[in-house]
Formats: sequence, structure tokens, C-alpha cells
Amino acid sequence: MTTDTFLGQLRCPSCVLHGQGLLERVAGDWILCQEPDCGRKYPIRDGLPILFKDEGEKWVNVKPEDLPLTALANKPVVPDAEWLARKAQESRITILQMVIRAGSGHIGGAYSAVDLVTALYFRVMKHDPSDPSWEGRDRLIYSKGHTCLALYSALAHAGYFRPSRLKEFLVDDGLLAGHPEMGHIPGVEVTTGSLGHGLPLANGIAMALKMDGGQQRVITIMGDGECNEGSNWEAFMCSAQFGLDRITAIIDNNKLESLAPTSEIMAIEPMADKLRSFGWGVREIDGHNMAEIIDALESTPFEPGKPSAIVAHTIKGKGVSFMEGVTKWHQRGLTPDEAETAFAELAQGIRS
Amino acid sequence: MRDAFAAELHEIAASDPSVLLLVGDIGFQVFDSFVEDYPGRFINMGVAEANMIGAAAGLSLGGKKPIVYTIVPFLTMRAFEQIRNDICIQKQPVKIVGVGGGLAYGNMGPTHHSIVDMGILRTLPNMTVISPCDPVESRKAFRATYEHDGPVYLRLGRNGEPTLHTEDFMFEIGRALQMRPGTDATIISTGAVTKIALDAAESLSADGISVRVLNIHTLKPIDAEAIVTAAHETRALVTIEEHNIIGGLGSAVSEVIAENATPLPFKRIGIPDTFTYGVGSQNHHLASHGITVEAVKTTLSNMLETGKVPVSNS
Repeated sequence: MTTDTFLGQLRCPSCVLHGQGLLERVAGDWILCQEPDCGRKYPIRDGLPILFKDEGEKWVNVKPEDLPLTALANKPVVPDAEWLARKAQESRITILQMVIRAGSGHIGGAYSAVDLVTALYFRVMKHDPSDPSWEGRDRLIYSKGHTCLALYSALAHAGYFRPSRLKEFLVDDGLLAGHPEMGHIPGVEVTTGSLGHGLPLANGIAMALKMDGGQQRVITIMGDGECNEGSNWEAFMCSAQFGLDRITAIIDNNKLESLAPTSEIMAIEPMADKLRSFGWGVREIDGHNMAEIIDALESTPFEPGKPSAIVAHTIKGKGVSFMEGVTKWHQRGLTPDEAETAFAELAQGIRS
Repeated sequence: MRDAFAAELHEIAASDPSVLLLVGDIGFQVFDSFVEDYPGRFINMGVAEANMIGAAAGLSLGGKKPIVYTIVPFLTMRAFEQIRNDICIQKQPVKIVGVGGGLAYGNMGPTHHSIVDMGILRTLPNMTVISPCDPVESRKAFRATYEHDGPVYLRLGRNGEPTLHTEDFMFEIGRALQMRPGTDATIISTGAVTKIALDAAESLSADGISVRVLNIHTLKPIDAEAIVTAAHETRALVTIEEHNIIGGLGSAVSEVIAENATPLPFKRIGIPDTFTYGVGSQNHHLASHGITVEAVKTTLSNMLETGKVPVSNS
């Protein structure tokens, strides 16, 4: 955890809100705030930086999950794949902090979807975080609601609410429940959590927009396990029947359900062929390759007059070696050792 | 009731272009004039109720006013979770209009009968449940449904029900209608079996028994005041409904009485917690499950005579 790369992500807790708070490693076991008016010096003990923050009259140690991270790199007008990939990696760290703090969370499916969600909120979708109900916005219908960690992180970093509120994940009277709730969380379009609801809702929203001549896109992210649900297949037929070509359904095909591989529970392959036969234009991509994600999302409709499906081949738990493709990381908290390893790997991922 | 609803819908749609009719491939010829006069606003969503309800919620999110129509069991039970999540949790003012409430699909059998719909739907927060008694009330009920800012389930019969209202009246959601004054006993009814209640009351009056008939067209929010008043002003009370005695009108009324009124002899008349097996017309099924004028009369006069609830009403 004390690699220079990781320390490079940290900022002085006293300065980060009103300045850069850049830290520099000095004399091996210390880091020093570079702000001219600050100059605070923090020790590194047992491999962890001890970053004190001012809480009224006393100074308290910042827990590892609260370590202040890099203020976001300024968002370019049109972020490129490299910027977005880095952004997604930062989101993975944010998600890790949320899960460590809450002791629970559907981290595996959040990590498989986070590259897709990042591309949508930071490049592809037209939206305005200062006006969540702006009529002209593209709609994201987050159907696999249990993996809302990825959505929450994107909404916060996009500006729908302050990133500090991510600490309210699973907290009594807080902002962020285990499934996203419309009306309670700024930027959440629909309440999801029960699987198989997103695409029917997307159909209705797209039909309404079409009647009014709107060009807004309606994008839904659903899981491969979620495709067990029959309502989706009613909905796949409906989108095609009504020619809803502003719909894009992204299947986050991470190959794992809650208890076992999808292929052993209710096999969906060949998913792309199924969707083509249901009247959709379909493209298959590597759901962790940012260039492929952007290209697919910006090439819709794949076929004129048809809804578009992106079968995104992903890895559940992507980004943390011991989580990747491992069933138990569907929903789980982390031990301190696991947390430390995960942090180090994700920080390494930002550098590479 | 079905045609009355279709007529009122046609009228409302003329002045509100955001009104859409979604059907689950049901309603042959019923909406022909709607289809003709409002092109693009009649949407056959196919035999796919889960998607239909979800899409209706989506249309509502998109600023439209969808009316969803099909046969009650497929509408309310197949897609119950969509009604709960997509409509009620999200507070979308989708109007769910079910045709064939109760035993209206007679000899089509128990798959097409709806004897649990009111029970399950009234447990949903944000939901309003309306069950009109005749064609006139159905028109007014649909108008009120349309004007209500929230989800509504409107339970219609099928067609050909007699008109029970003899004079004009104000329809207000949650306000019971007294169909007949009375001082000895009260029959509380909902839906088309209000006819049985009125016939029983008329027949009992010949025996010198004065029976009030209270038409609870809105199961939720229920008119507790009218029920408590009836419980205090009369000496016995029966409910009658084309629904399981568990969960529907009888349950709703007993909840009100248990919490708000002095106890009095009380009996629920309805389907006695059984499925409606076998072949039979609507009237046949009603009779074989004890939902008759005779049963109401016997139950009421027995209760008035003994001051107690009879052991069985069937």
C-alpha cells in the first residue's frame, strides 16, 4: 500500500477540499503536504499512511477506506478511452471504499459493469447533473439494480451529489440503499432491484419519447443472469415490434450468477443470436475495452429501425485478482488483508 | 360496465391527447371507435402483461397517461410485482382497468375468475381500489379514476349488468353511497352484487325489516365513517361481494368495525375461501357459493332475531 503510485493518489485531508493537497514522501516513513499554508507531516505506520484530519477540537486518524483520493483529473470535453479507463479504475477504488465501510455490497457485478457505466456518464450520454429532470437527457435504466455501487460512484463523480455522500451507502437514513431508488437519489431514473423490470420500463419511456418526436436515447444495463427472467423476453419482443431504435440494451455478460456460472443455471448463449432472432441489431464487445465500448455505444442504431443490443463480455470482479470470476464475490465484504491487497492492485491498475 | 367505461374513455380522450389505451390483446370491437378517432393511441401490447405494466409505468414517466386494460387475473396477478414496483413504489398514476371482476367470466372457469384481486391490490401503498356496481357508476368511476393523481385499480364487471342507480349522484373516491335507507340492519356491498343486496333489502322490507344498503365502491381508501355510522345506527351487518371472503370487502369492513365501532352481529358473504371449480354461469357460481338474495335474507333475519351470528351462511 505504500507504493509511490498509491501514495500519489492520496491528498492531505485538511487541504483537499479547498486546494490540491499534494503530498510528497519524505525521509522514507513520512509524507508532507505541499500546500504553502499547510505543510502538515503525516507518518506511515505498519504500511498505512496515518492521515489525521481536523474534526473540531481533535485530530482523528483517517481510516483506510476514508483515505482522500485524488481530486478528479479535469474532464476533457470529449474524454478519450484512456481517460475513461482511468476514471473507471478510480471508480473501482471508490466502490471498494464503500464496500469496506458498509461491510457488504454487490461488488463483483459492479466491477463488471463499471467500465460501461463510466463510458455512459462521462462521454456517451447527454445529461446535466445540475438538472436531473432535464427533458433532453438520455435515460439510463439501471436494470441490474443490485450492482448499484457502480451507478452511485458514477452519479457522485458526475456531480449529481457530493462524493462524500457515498459514505451513506447502507447507512440508516442515508442516501444510498442496496438498490437504487428513484426520487430519493438524484439522477436515478427508475427504482430497480427486482430483476427483469428495466427493459419493460425502458420500452414505455422510449415509446413516450418517440410519440413526442424526441431523439433522446434510452439505455438499459442488464445482467446475463437477469436474462433468466421471462419479462425481459416479453420486453425484447416489444422493443423490436414497436421499432424502438433509440433503445440500447447492454447485457453485462459476466457469466456468473449468485450461486454458480450462468451456463450451469439457465444458459443464455448464444445470446447474440437469440437477440438477432428477436429482431434486434446486435454487437458483441469486450466490456472492459474502453475503445470498443465507446465505439459500440456511439454506433447505434446498429440496424435502422431496430433496437440495439450490446452483448458485453465482462469479468465479474474485474480489477481485483482474487475476485475475478470467483462466485463468492457476488456479494461480500472484505477482511482487512483482502482490503489492503485490493487497494494495492487497484492503485497499481491506475498507473498501468 | 365495459361499454360504459369505453364510452367515458372515448370522451376523456377527446380532450386529453396524452391519454393512451394499452390492451393485452383483449377487447374485440369494444374500442373500435377509439382506434378510429385516436390513431396511435390504442396500443395492443400483446399477451405479455409484465412488459405491458412495466411499459405503462415507463409511458407515465415519459409524461403520458396510460390506461391499461385486460382481463382481471392476468392484469393484477401475472404482473403484480410490476404493479407494486413500477407503478406503486414509483408513484406513477397509471390506471389499471380490469374487465371480468369476480365471476363475470362464468363458464370460462376459475383461471378467468377474479376472487383475490381486491384483497391483494388493497395491500399496496399508494394504490386506490374501485369496484363500481353498475354501468352508470362505472362511467363516473372512470372519470374519477382519470382525474385522480395516483395509481388506481378499477374493477369492472363484464357487460350487461343492470343499472341500479335510480337517480343522479355524485361519485367521489372514498365516499360510500347509500343506495337505500334503513334502520334495522345494514348490507354493505361492492360491485354488481349490490343488486343482490338491494333485492334482499326490498324483500325484507315486506317482512317489516328496514335494511340500509351501503355501496362501498371504493375499497381503498374505505369510507370508515359511513361504516361506523351504519354499525351504530343499525343492529346487524352483512357484507356481500363477488370475491373471496378473505381480503376483500368483508375483511376491509371488519377491520374498520374492529378498530372503531361497538361490536355487533356481523357476517361476510362471498366466496368461502375456495376456488370456483366446475362449469357454471356467473349466477350459477354465485348461487352455489351462497351469494344469493335468500342467503342474505336468512343471515340478516337470523342475526336480528337472535342477536348472534349464524354458524353458517351457506
